[in-house]
Formats: sequence, C-alpha cells, structure tokens
Amino acid sequence: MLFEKVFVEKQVKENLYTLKILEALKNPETILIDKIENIFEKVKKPYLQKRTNLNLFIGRKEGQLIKEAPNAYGFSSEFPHYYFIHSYNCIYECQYCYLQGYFNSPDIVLFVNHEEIQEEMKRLCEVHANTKVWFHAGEFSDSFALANITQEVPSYFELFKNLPNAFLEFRTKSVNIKQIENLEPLENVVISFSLSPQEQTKKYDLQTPTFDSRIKAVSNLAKKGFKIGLHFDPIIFEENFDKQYEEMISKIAENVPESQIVYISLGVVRFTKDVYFEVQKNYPESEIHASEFIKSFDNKTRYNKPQRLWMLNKIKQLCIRHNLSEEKIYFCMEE
Amino acid sequence: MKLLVFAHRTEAKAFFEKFNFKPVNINFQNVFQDENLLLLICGEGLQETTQRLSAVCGFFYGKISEILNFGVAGSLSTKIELDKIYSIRTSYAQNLSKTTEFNSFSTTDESAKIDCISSLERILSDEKADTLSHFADLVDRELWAIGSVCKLFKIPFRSYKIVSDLAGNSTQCFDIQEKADFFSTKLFDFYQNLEVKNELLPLRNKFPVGFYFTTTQEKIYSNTLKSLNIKLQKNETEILQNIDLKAIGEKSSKPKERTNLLLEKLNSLLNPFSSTLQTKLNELIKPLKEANCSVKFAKDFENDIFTLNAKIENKKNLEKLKIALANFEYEKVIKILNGEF
Repeated sequence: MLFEKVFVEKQVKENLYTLKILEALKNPETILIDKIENIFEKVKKPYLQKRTNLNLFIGRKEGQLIKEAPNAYGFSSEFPHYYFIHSYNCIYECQYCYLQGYFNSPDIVLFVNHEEIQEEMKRLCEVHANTKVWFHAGEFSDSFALANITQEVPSYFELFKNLPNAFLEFRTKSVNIKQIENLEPLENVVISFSLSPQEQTKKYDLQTPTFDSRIKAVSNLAKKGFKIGLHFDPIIFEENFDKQYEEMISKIAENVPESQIVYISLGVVRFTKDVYFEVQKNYPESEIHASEFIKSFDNKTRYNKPQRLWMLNKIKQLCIRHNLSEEKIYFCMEE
Repeated sequence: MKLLVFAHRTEAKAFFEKFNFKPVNINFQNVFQDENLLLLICGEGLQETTQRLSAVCGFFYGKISEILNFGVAGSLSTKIELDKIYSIRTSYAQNLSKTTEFNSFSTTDESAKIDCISSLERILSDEKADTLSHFADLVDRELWAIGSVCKLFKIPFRSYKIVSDLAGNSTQCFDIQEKADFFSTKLFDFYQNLEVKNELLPLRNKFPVGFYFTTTQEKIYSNTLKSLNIKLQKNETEILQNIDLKAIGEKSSKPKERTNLLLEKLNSLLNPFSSTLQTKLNELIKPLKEANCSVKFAKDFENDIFTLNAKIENKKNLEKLKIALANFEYEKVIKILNGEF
C-alpha cells in the first residue's frame, strides 16, 4: 500500500469523502484518533522518510479554511486572490519543494470537510459580489496527484457552475486526469500545470510524471475544452538554459491550443532560509547548489536580480516567438 | 575509535567475554576500554544515558569516531519479528508530560527502515503501547538520549535493537533475564558480521603550486571547488586543467593577488552568468574608472542604485570626470541591472 499507517479523526469517520478514500485504498486498517495535530508534526519526522514510510491522516480542516493569497501570487492582480487548503504534503519529491521546510513531517494529510470549504467560497463570493474573485488549490499539496483517491474535484466543478464571477485554479504536476477528463469543462475553472524542461524534470522533480507525459495531459485537457494555466516555476539556471526552454516552449506551442491557455506564470527558483537549509541537507549533491544565490529583497534565497530578470525576459521572449500571447504572461513572486 | 553503548551489562555480556575490556579511570564506573574500542554501560532511562554518555564523550573528546548502540527493545507493531535484530532509522522520545519530544535523531544507516521511540517508563499496558505505536515500531529506554548527545558532540551513530517481546500487557509476564545470554550472544554475532564502513577521510584540497591561500581564500577555494565538483562531475586536478595557472602567475607577482585571480577564474567557471554581467558592467564604467571615479553597485545588484566616489586632485581631474560623466551610458547600465542584455 502507498501508506504505512492510516489515521482517521473520529469526527470524520463517517464522512462521505473519508469513506470514498478508504474504499479507494481498499479499506486498509485504520487507527482512529481524536485530532490530527495530536500526532502529525508532534515529532520532527525526517523529510526523506516519505520514500519508505509515509502515513496518511484524514481529518477536518479547522480554523481559517480559505486564506488571502500574497501579492504577486496570481494572474490579474487587480482581483482578490485566495487559496484554500484541503491537503498537506505531496507524494512527489521535488528537490526544491518548499514543503521540505514547511511542515515537520512529510506525512500526507487529507481534509474531507469540502462542504465547509465550499460554503466559505460562496460567502467570499458574496463579499466580492461586484468583482471577480480567484480561488487557488494546491498551495500545500498537488491538486491532482491523489485525485483518484480523494475524489472531491467533481464537487468543486459543480459549485463553480453556479459561481460565474469566481475562478478556480487547480495546480498540479500530475497526469492523474482520468476523473477530470469526464467532467464538463468550465470557463471559470483553470487546470494549471507546472512545467520544467525535460532534463530538469528528470533531475529535480523526483517521482513525478515525465515532461512528455505532462504535455500529453495538458494537451488532452486543452483539446477537450478545459482552460489551462501554465506555471514555468521554478526556473533554474543551467548552462544550456535557452536551449532547454526553447525545446520546452516549442513542444507546448505544438501541442496545446493557444486559445485554451489562460495564463503563463514565470517564477525563478527561490527558497526561504529554512527551506534552503533543508534542500542542502536532503539533497547535498543536487546541481541546484552549484549556483550562486544571494539573499534577496524579501530575505529569500535567489539568483541576483539581473540574472532573475534576464531569465524571465528570455523565457517571455521565447513564448512570444512561439505565438503565445504576451498579455497572458506574468512574473510570479517577483518585485 | 568506536564507542559501544549498552543499557545493561547483561546485554554486553558476550562482548566482555570476547574482548579484553578494562575499566577506565573516570568519575563513575561502567566505562571500559579495549585496544581499539570503548564500551559504556549507560544505564536505563534517558537521564542516566544523557549523563553518562555526555561525560564519556567529553572525557574522550575528539577520539570517538562513531557510536554504536546495541540493546533490547520491545515491539509496538505486529509486523516486527521477535528475536530479530533491526537497524534503527530515527529515534523519537516520550517526554515528561507523556506526549512526545519534538526533536528526533536519525542514525547514519541509510538502509534502516524501522524507528524507535524511547519511553520514560517500561511499557506494561496495551493502551500505552498503542499510543507510542503511532510514532514508531519499537520502544526502548535510551536511544533518543544517545542521539541527542551524538548531535551535541557531532558524532555519527547507529543503533541495533534485538526485539525481546511485544510491549504492553504481556510484558509484565515476560522475564527478560531468562533470555539475556541469548540476546547478548546474538548481538555480538551481529556486531562481528556488521559491515564496518570504511571511514571516509575528509577530502583535502591540494592547492596549486605557487599560490598562497589566506584562511578566507582557502574557504572560498574549497566551497567553489565543491560546487564545481557537483556541477562538472570533475575532481580538483581536472577542474584546474581548465585554468591557465601560468598566465595568472605572470599577471601578478603578489601571492594573495594571484590567488584572488585564481578564485575569480574558478568563480566564472561556476557562475558564467555573473562573470558576463560583471564584464558588461565593467565595460560601461571603464571611462569613469579612468577618470579616478570608482563605482559601487548595490549589494548583489538587488536594486538599481550605485555610488560614485571620485578623487579630484586638480582641475584636470575634474575636467576628465566631467567628460566621463557626460558620456556615461546610464540607461545601458540600468538595462543590464534589469536583465536586459
């Protein structure tokens, strides 16, 4: 089984999504607990233990269900942006991933109170009745990596049918899209894929689908009418950087109808101090460390500004050269 | 030398029989030394272990290369086999409020897959065993303290536990003493077969002949080489083959300056982008420099501000500076600082 132990909060043991998850996992033995936080993050569990010993927690998200996104977070910054949390951690193992330094455990947490999250979305839409409002999933997890197990995605599509002024973004590196392909595409639901050149995907995005399979998934969804977002993030400098991105962007241009692309977000690799420390500890031999980083304007570890902007401009120009509309391109988490 | 740590003398019995351990003259008993090995009986519980092990690590400071813990542990999971020896991956601990200590300590055995939680008391009920089983598959009384001291003294450690019984209600009926000889012999046999990894000697840089390194320069040199090694998959000699050391030697007669030039060359190999950036900026500020005016850019180029510092000794200097400033291509500099080149 994917998970070593499955912990279920007593309060959600009869929840519809809990039952669906357990069924999809072939009804494993579960351990009933009072609260996830009594166990999850109670001890510092080394990040790389996710390779051999990953536990699953199923529970109810409490506290603030939907949070305001930081500035420069999404496309069209004139509208309010929010992110919602329905899961912690990820089955993938990207060497630069900020989750390494975010939680004190790599164990997967799935929250199943989607009705409450959706009620909160409706409330926020009422608050912003006169404007568009964006909701983003996948801040602390991959939106689709476990979608065949969690099975909540159709209910969000259903909700957004009735929220025409609201936009929803799912973010993923997964090709786990069978369930999504059968849904009716909506103008206000965007499926975003994080993409890096093939060589870099292989080197840094451990356990993730290959670049080619991701492009295939993007292409399939786009051709079925789904709105697509592309995140070229994190962009990592390598000596043949231009060539790698030229290849990647030309493949996108060949396979994904431009009309279906809503935005292309570009973000250069960046780390908080804690995450950078974890990356050095977990992946001491990674080529990421063979770069010159500095402490930047927001105290994050990045390339220096001329290099960051040079990289972003290069990629922007490559996109334009391949007829991807300039208006759809934005720089993420950059001044 | 290696230090073997056992909670009880009975666990170490076979080791005493096979080696020639003699007591060490230290403030407390239970520390022994053979020709190439140290042995400590650390006692039961986190506090005693912390005290004794810290004292030994302090007494033999700099002499202990690795700590190996051998001992008996109880099982918290049905997947664990009794009488089998497991290499431990990470140690957790229960704390005084009967929850868990946040910190955990991992051994250096990357192939280990079983975790162990050190409990404050013997686990004599199934309820307590269930609670601990959420965190680990084995329970002992001292490993977390060993990990904690090892972290303090920066000593790598491994731990091997033989499983005596299923922790919980049944522990009360189990007499560990009855099997003490068996456990000790099995641990000793395991130790003998243990593949002792060759100790890796830290790589020492060779330093090219004719270059003098200050401590700071040595540190920069080592770090740059380490990064270049990752980037190019080449060793020091191969990396230096990319650099014309003779030409650097001819450029400057001062050893420290020569080394700085070498470091610059290595840095441009590692960070060609920074090197290009610097070259482009140098071209644009060259006329200012020729007019005795230095240009200082913002730290790491994080903003577009730069400072000029000019030395004017006579009117001729001033006129030269005026011309240099009039011809200074400000927009071009700003474009470069914003990645437009």
